[in-house]
Amino acid sequence: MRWLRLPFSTDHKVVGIQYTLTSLLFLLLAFLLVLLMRWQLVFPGEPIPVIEDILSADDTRMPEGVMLPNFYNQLGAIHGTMMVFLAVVPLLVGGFGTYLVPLMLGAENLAFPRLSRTGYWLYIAGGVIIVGSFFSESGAASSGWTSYPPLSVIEISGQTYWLIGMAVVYLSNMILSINLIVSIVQLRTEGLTMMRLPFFVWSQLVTAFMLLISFPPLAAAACMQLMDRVKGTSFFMPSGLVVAESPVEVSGGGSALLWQHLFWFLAHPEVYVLILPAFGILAEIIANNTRKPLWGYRGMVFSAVFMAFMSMLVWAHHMYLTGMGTTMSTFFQATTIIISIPSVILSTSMVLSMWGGSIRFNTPMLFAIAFIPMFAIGGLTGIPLAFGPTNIPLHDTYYVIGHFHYVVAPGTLFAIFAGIYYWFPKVTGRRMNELLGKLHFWTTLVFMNGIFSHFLLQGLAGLSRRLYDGGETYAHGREVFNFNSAASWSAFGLLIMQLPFILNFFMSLFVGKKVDSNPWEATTLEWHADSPPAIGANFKDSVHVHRGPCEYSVPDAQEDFSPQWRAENA
Amino acid sequence: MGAIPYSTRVRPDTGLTNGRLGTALFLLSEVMFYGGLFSAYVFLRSAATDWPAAGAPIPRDMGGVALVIHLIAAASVTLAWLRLSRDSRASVNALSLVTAIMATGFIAIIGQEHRMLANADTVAATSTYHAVYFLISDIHRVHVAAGALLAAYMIGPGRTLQLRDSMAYANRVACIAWYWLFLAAAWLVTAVLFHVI
Repeated sequence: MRWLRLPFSTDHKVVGIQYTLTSLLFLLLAFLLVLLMRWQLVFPGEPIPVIEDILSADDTRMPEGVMLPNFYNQLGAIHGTMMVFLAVVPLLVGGFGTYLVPLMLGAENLAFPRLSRTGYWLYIAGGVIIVGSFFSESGAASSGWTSYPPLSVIEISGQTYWLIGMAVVYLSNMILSINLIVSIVQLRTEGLTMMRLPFFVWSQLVTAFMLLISFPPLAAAACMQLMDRVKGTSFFMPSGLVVAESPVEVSGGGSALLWQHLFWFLAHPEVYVLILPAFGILAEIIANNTRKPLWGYRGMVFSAVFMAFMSMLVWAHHMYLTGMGTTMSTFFQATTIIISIPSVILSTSMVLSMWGGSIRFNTPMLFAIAFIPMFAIGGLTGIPLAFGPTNIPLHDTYYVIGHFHYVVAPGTLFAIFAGIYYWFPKVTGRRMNELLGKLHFWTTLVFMNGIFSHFLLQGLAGLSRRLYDGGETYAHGREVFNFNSAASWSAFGLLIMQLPFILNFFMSLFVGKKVDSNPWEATTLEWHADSPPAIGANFKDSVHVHRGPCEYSVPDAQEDFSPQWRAENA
Repeated sequence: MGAIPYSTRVRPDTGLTNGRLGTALFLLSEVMFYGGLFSAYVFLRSAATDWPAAGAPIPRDMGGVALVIHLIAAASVTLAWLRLSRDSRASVNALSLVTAIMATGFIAIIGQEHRMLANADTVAATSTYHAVYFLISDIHRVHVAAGALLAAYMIGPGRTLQLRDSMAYANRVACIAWYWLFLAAAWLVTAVLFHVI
């Protein structure tokens, strides 16, 4: 009977675990979608083996197992949407944030427990609407995860589902953000001042503000696009538009660029929403495994806040190709370069935190260390994209795909894996297997680079990122066409090497080594609670905080860690 | 599970209750949402050669009446909030009732305005000018309907809460008043954009 109550539980730990499991499922599903695309790119026009019979049931998508162009577009659009809005953000903020923030605050729950539950159900509803559109008669949305009009307005496939689903996901994010901000501001336990908050909590606070401020304009834009599709308005439809040699019957007067402005006002801060909580996870793991305080904690906090502010002022660097004037492009080039400063401060602080430390190379730490060079590749390859003259030739190529995926895949996903291995003992009371963990890490590192490094090379060779056949029939694509093969086999290898992780995850739930409340000898408050903390009661008694969040190797202390809850440096 | 702290009591170092801070944050996101709609107005208007390009004008007299009614609704609930501290329950109920009635009137007037425009062959698809107006006014009507329900709550179920926990009730009334003040400001901007500028 207790299990029946779990879907309605308002305990933050239950909701957090549900967010985590659901978003991991979306992550896997989004990855499987892209594997179908990768097959098409390597073997254009050839049926997909093994699952050929299942997929060819529908002649509008994959007759005889051969992918049709429109289905390829649907896979691309839903892959991007799921990865960003249904997998990574809910995992980082909904999963890690909802579970860990109250524990790190010394609180018993989030400020609005029922809203927390509501937010989760809205997230599920939004996800079902978006993914479920695959099963509608016309199929899923097929105009990319950016849904640029006029294509997204005139296409007949499930764009309407996409818009409704995104509006529901927006509501879920708004509720989640408000809940986290209020909890962090209001529910800090005695002695836990803002500058004693773990950096993870700061990262969640800043991320929640970014979501709260940047998402509503996209929700407004989604309403407008819905009106264009359903009511025949022309928010994004210019006058005199001709499609397939026929004029489109609309009043006109709208602008496709309006959508781009409103979309990127969300979607660029969204990149930092994907990155900042990852830095938060890293900060905890690196400080713990180097047995040293974070280098420049205050600088990191101010950098995170500055980064969030600047992230609202860089959106149009995605739009250099629209022919904006030089004054505008100069402004956005300048802001884009300025925002690299806090990013560099954060990653440099991580490296300097390791300097001179007594490093424990366990699985979470390996993922955390690997994050830094992967993120650096993602960041540095972004510099040519920040400037108009270099952006224009690169913009429509695989280079952009490589750059973005280096930030989010080996970047953010490594942080997510690190976080799962690190907090698994807290959530379950058992430790994950180290051997399987290291096998997972090294193979994932190799295969991730096997995928995305080839994208960068293909992009530099000028290969367009919008080709259904992978560039086979295009002269400029032939010299780098074979890279598709290396990238795709790496992607298939990456899938196989997630099996040790999945096996480790479920096996450790039952046979993992049992641990006490603080197996990593950490300092932040979540490690003061039992492992796992009881439902409805995080702490046995009231918690008082006596010091900062990462006081490791304090001189004259008997142990190399001084927990926040301990009165003396015993 | 223990009660969530600062649900009704003010946290000393922040000077806020959870509900009031949550409402302020919700309104911040609403400002951004309406900001997205208003920016569409500015973007489309600045690029338009004719504004409006076609269709019947939005009736200014009805717009004026709707604005006055809206402002009365917001003022009533704000007065109710201010009167709460004087513990005059009867006037709080009366003022909340005024808000609920005015809100219903506003919804009806805007509905009538839309019908009149439709009779003049003017709908959202007629021009971008009308598209923006129909979208903002319809979204605003939904917001006002929610505001009417909140005002009705103050008169109905809220009274039980007032008897049981007057501080919790006062917090909710304050949040409802903030919401109405935001709605009034948003509609004032809308009215200026479509009837004045």
